[in-house]
Amino acid sequence: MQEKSRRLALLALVLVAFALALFKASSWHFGYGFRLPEPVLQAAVPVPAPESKKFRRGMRGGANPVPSGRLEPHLVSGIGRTADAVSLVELKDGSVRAFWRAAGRGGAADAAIISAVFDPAANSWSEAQEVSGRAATRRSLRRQIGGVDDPVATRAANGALWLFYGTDGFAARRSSAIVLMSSEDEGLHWSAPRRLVTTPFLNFGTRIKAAPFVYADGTMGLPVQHQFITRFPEILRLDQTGKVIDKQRLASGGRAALQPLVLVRGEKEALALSRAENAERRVLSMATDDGGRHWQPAQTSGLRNPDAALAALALQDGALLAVLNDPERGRESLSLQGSVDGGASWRELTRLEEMNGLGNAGLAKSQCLEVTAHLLRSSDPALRNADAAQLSLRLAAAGPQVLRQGGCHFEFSDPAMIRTGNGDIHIAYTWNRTFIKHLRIDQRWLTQRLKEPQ
Amino acid sequence: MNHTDWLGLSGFALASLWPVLHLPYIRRLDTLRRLLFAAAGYVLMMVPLFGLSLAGWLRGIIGDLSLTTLLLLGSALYARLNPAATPLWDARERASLLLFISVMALMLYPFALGWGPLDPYRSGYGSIGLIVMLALLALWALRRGLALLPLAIALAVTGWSFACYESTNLWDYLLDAPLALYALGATAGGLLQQAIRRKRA
Repeated sequence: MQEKSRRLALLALVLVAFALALFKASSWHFGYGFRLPEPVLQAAVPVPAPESKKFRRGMRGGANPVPSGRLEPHLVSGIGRTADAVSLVELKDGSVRAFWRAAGRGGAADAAIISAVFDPAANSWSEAQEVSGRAATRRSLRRQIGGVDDPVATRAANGALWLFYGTDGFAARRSSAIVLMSSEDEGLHWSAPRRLVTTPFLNFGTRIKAAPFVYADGTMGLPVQHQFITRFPEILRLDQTGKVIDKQRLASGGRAALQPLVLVRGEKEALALSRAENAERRVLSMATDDGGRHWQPAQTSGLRNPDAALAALALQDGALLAVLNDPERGRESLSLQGSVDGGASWRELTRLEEMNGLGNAGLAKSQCLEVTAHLLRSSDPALRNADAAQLSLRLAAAGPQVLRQGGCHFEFSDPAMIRTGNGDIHIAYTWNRTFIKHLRIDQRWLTQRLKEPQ
Repeated sequence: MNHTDWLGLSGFALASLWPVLHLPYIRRLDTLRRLLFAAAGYVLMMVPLFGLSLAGWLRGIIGDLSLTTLLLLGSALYARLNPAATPLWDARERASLLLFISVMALMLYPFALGWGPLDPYRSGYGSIGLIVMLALLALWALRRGLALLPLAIALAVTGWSFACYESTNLWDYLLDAPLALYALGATAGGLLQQAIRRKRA
């Protein structure tokens, strides 16, 4: 009798458990289709033209000058810590907030997520402030972490700012996971970080790099990379509270498609681009034409890249932009490329950085530092007329990085790119593993440049 | 401390107690003293030292333990604290659960970690198919006279429904990597023993 009662009680427990689970699962649905970016509303803020002849030449596309070519560089990050992995997001007042990872001599263990705001009217960056770090993240998550990693900022459907960043486990980046924090006041204050569980094996090996996109139902797609044992690109889907509700594999392991980003081209069309370790030295692309329900297998695109991080953007007129390194020049050059045929073909719109060839030119250390000083002056208006003492601090930080391989090697990497409400394109990237550099490009110049014949 | 952190940290506090309760000195204590010792050990594991508890250090390496692991840990600790009491589950019950975990682990981990284009982990995000499959399995196990397996499945599914952990994926409530390794080892060992016995017979 007792055994029978026990079995009945267990049966009741099982039935109640599954009734609850089915109720929860039935309320957990989402659709496919993309939300298009907000249209450009504000008038473009005039951007002061740069003084450097070299940059003017670059923006005017060499032999084909464009009247309103504009580019205003700034070094965003401060001195004393190396900076990398920048992410940009537009604030409600039209300013741009940047986030990046800064590390001191302790490397990953003392890395922190830093933020600063660019005021387009004043054409200047605010002082950088720490948003989160290893100790604060460890305390909030109530678990040991090895360090903090790449931040990615975005605006959620409810209007809040969301900041994702990676945390390394005991196996460094192979064991990385993603955490999320949010801000209701445009980044002045942040919630405690919350961990996203994205893989079944110890939650190891999910890294974030590219900006999220929004589905038509307000849920968010987060392009990520799985990198534990095998490497493949995925899309995590988050509901409006930031909970993971789905994940979708874009390519199976072995294709070595890394750091995917998604360009929304229409309500049903999107293109995912991914850097890759392939002999062709080309970016891989994966397309969808059913709102993200299915993604076509990875194909080699026409975009050349030496397996380095890239940033890309879809404009409202259908044109695509990408910022990336050139495979023949390594990371010593960085170019802005455009496509007007949906990514079938790409052409360079302007070279943002070009320091190729100096590495093996046999420059003496003093000559290399002279070149670096010149580059620093042209990278920030505040340094343009700076005295030697002011410049020396920056040079002391950048010099060892440029000289670290014995030659004179420059490196421009990890780009991020957004389009703000006034149509301007903001690009930021890691400048010689030392600083974050920011450029602003006027959409009128860009539109004209895209229309020019090849 | 929110409930997901408490449950996650408690799993490691309980897991740490299990080997300690096997120490010869502890085994000589009476039940009340063992209970007091276990309670003190639990508190020690949970109290933050220099900003982080010992359980938090382990949690940072392994991640949260599944509810199935907690059920087995709870049963094992009960047996350690009450050596005179009848074990909660007999060998058949335990073997059935470990076989189930082994099969699920083989279905999940290789594919979720990138072997092939399919990702079974995705089904843990509210897939009706996975829930129905687990329900049928639990009912079948009940009909076969098993209790531990349906209890473990029901516990995992209920925990997922109430979001007891920070994970939103049902698989994380059913099994975890340490449990999968233990289950695979125990199941393989059991099958090997059976084969040896048959050969000798």
